Amino acid sequence: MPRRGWTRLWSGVAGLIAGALLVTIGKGVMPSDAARTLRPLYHRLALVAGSGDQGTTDGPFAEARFQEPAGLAGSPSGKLLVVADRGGHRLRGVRLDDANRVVTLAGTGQPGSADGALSSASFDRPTHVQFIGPRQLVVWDAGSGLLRIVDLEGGTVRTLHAAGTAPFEDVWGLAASEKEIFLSQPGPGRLVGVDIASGRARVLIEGDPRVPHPGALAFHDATLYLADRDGTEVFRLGASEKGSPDLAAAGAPGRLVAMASAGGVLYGLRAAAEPLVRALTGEPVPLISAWGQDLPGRGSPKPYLEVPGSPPVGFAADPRVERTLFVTSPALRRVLSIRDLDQGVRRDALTEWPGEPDDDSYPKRKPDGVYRLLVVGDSRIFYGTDKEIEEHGGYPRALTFPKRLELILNTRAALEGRPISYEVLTKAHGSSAPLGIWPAYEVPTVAKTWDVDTVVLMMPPASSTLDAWLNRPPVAGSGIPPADIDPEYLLLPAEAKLQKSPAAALFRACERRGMATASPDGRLEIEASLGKLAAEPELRREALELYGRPLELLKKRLAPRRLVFCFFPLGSREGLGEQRDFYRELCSKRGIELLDLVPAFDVLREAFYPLSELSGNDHFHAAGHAVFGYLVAHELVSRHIVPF
Amino acid sequence: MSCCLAALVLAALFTTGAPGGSPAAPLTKVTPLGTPPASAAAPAAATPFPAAWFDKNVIVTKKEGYVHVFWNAQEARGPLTGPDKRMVLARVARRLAAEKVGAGVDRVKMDVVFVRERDRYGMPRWDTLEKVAHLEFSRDALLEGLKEGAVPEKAQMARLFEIFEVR
Repeated sequence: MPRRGWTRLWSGVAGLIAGALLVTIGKGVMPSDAARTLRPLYHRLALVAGSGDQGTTDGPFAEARFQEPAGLAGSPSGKLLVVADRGGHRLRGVRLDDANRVVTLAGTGQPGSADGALSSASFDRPTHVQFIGPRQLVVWDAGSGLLRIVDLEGGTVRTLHAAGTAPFEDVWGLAASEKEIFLSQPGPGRLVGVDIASGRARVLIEGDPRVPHPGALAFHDATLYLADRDGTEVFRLGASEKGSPDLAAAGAPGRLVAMASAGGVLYGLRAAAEPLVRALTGEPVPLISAWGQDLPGRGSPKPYLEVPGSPPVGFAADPRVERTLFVTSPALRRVLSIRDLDQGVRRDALTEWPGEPDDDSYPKRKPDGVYRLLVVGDSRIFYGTDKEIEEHGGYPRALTFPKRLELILNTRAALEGRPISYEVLTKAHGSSAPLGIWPAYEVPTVAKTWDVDTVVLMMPPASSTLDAWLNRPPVAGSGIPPADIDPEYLLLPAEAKLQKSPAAALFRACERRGMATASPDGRLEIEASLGKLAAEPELRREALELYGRPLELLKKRLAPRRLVFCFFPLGSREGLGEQRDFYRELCSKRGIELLDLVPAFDVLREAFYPLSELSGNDHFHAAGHAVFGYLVAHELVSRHIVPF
Repeated sequence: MSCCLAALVLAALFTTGAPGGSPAAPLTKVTPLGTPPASAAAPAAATPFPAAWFDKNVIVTKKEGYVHVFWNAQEARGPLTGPDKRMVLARVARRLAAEKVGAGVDRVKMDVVFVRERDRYGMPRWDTLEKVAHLEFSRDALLEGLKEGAVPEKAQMARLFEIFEVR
């Protein structure tokens, strides 16, 4: 079996495992008719609404049908997504504040141009839609070429008669401010503005050689951006004294079908293998599956998101979550959401990791209804096996434990109809950095910056914490070692270090037992495992102090955010019982919540063996990350550590 | 003294250097660098040093009254165990003083070591450390007394360096 197939197999197995566990263990709490309480999944790539079948049925998000969904517009309040159902001659609404329930907002379903009440008014192939106020919309009917103003507050539809112009035909893009509606028409080669109050129309661009066929159009940072239908550049429209706007080249993202601004980024949609692109920089946004692979693009047998080469296509920002976009097209007959989050392959953990959390692509502002976890750990939580790394040329973030945990928590919430969502961020270093020390320095800032609710420190059986105590100087004030080495201190003679070190008593006690050495170059080393130290009262007492101090400091610096210490037994099982007991006592003394995963691992250990590669590095493989994610999700929920 | 260390260590050069992990730690798989090939002899006069000698191998820490320069010279092991090792050290000291030490501080203490092994992330395994040399000097005096690319004469060494200990 080729390698890629091998990994796919494991990934598939992981999915089956996670799915089976969800169903099996969730049975005790799930309602008998799960379908009634299903909620949309909170994920980077998710279904917003639509079964995919053609129709006009309203109702629960996954069962509702669209005839021919085209334009999309998210309400400023973030509660409603309006869908121009072109073939159904209706305006449909997705109630984002009610589990994405689909409703009909306006239109009889028969093509027409009748004004009046929402339910009696008719539309003729409504194609573009934009909000022009909190509850007011403009709709362009492709069948009649008319602009319609829909007042959801007042419950009326009226036609905006643009003075002095024929009905607008061949409209590629529509953008709107509260006062003016802008339409791009590639056929006649013009950009038109229509004053909403007076209906007066003005031609802003016509026959401009840089934009001979005006196409994709969007507001971004209160400025109008325009792309040519056949060109590859994006232009910014600026005010001009001459009356007609100045065009300034702003980016070259390739030929765009639509544009939308979301979370401070202008995005473009294009009929290409990588359909989503940051329009001003030209960077494509990779669509990464939950299994860490690029999703098939256009031209592949089954593309995830096939963008037509021309409108209609729906493309709008999700007002609730930064850098998240709604997408649809008549052929798709579903509305999807795509979140611009970096989940691709991290090729080099050494150069890409330090300094910032891996998940700094998450917006700093936490979306409403989201509970944020920050998992802190070593490579066991972010790296895979040698074989997988060789295959991917690195390791996809989507495959790692934190992303699995996020997906599984959100899947449980969706399946059980819970109105809560989760984001799981990562902060980690390789195990040569002392996991018992560096979080006290680095994690509080990350937790505060990203408004994290709970930090989970993932502690494996071995860490380099004691080594840091022995070979780094205590920092004045905190009394714990620094996060980084001090090379000059490292080279001090052993005795000089011991005179200053809070770890001297432990070292001496270990030395008497033949468990510690000082090298001629001054390096101090305790050769006993934590399990061995924990087994002897004198050594245990000293170790509890050294392990406890930085942890307590971390807790203090995190407050009022919650800290959970999670001990998990991946790797050596030597002295595991003593270590569990040690951490139990440590957490109890320091008032830190302990999540002991040893029992859960033991239950599943034989059935899922092996969870990691067996070459001695103890990294989970893809399925291992999934099972680990499931276990932690289960414990977090069942012990009420996270709200659910 | 130590409170300013973390902020001042040139993380970009060396990242979070940490002692070698315990035996069960997952990322301490040893990747021996080995001894450089025989062809890696001492560079001829004025031959530029390979960038690999210094990439991720230098930590500069500002201390009270001096700057400490730490160089893991494992990549230069061949030249530093050959007959011209003192000349090489002097030239390296000049280069690091010029490039890595800011002009504000004059006094420099420099330690040169070999760290024979790294973990799979490229982090040095401190338990394989071997001291090579300790130098102390005035940055200004060294930059003035030894021109860029010049090879120091033996008579110069005592004037350029206050301490020049080589193991």
